[in-house]
Amino acid sequence: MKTRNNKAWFLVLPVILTVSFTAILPLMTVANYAVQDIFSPTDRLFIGMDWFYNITNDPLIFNAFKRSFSFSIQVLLIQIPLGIAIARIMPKSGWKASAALVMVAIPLIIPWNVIGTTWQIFARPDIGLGGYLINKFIDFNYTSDPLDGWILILLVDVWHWTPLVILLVYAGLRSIPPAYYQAAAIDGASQVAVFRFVELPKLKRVLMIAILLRFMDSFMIYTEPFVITGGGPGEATTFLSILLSNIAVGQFDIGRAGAFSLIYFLFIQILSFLFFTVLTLQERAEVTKAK
Amino acid sequence: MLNWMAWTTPIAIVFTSVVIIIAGMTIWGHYSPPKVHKGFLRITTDRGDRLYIAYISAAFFMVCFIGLVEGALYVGVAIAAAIAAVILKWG
Repeated sequence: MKTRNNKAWFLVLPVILTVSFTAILPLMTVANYAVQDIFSPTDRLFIGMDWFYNITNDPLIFNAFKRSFSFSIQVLLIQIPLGIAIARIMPKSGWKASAALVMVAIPLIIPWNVIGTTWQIFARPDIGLGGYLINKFIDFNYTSDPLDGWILILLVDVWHWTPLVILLVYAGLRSIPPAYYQAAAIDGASQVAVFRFVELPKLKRVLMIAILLRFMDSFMIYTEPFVITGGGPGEATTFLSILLSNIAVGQFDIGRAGAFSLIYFLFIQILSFLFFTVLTLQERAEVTKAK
Repeated sequence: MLNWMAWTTPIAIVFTSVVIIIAGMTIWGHYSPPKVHKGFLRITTDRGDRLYIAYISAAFFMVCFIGLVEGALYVGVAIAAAIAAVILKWG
């Protein structure tokens, strides 16, 4: 086996120093908060795992978890098929392809709170163009009807993030050698068969990336519901991150928020790990074979 | 200076042991480079990967345990440690 020179790790040192100030020290602080009831910097009480019992048995948090989870599932069910469909009908070459790519990428480069504000006004029944037009046909008011609020947030997320899926799938489709399509044409394969047996297997890896990225991002969604509905109407769009910030900076219940953050952080860790594992699965298999 | 971090002894012990484990793994890795293998997790892992998987699995188990069982924390810790050990050895 080749000897590995590990000295290059010293180049990572600046990053580790930066991260320790921006992430590790705050994490340690949050972990300390999570085991104490803090009234003031000098007046704090060690309470062990009480906040964790409180958090894991709190229906409010459990409901927010279910809400976040089902939101992520719905996001995936809409965005992945829609992304594939749009990527397949996009122009393959020439100026039209460039124009389509730029058009598709526009939502991705708009700041998140700008998107929130834009949609908030756009969907208003009184002064928003979209809300006004929809109210000609059906009753739509995202500030009073829980379902409408949910649909609006879902719609904003679809508008904002389907482009990411489209770009990934588009790149995946471009990387399929023309020979596959020619072979399919010679065999007289139908459009459906080409999609099912040529494109889908080749897109597997790219789709895996898209699914995991979209799942993680939508699971952590904060800005859009914060700006558009503020977690309402009622609790309809109170996702985990909204609830967490309410507890932490709204009620200043930092012990409870600390325990909540740690559990939330754990879930994100697990998802990130799955993400990383799937991405490197191929390389890992090769490493084993080489040994 | 570290007053704002509201340190408590248990959390200090946790983070100190994490630092010691990572430092120890680094030194161990330098003197005997880790070998990869494929256990019941069906993915190729070396001991560092397994340590991480064991850690988050144990933490996940503890969250579930705290949520479902009132009290008996030591039982939970023992089971979590057993899970971690199994993953470290056969994962």
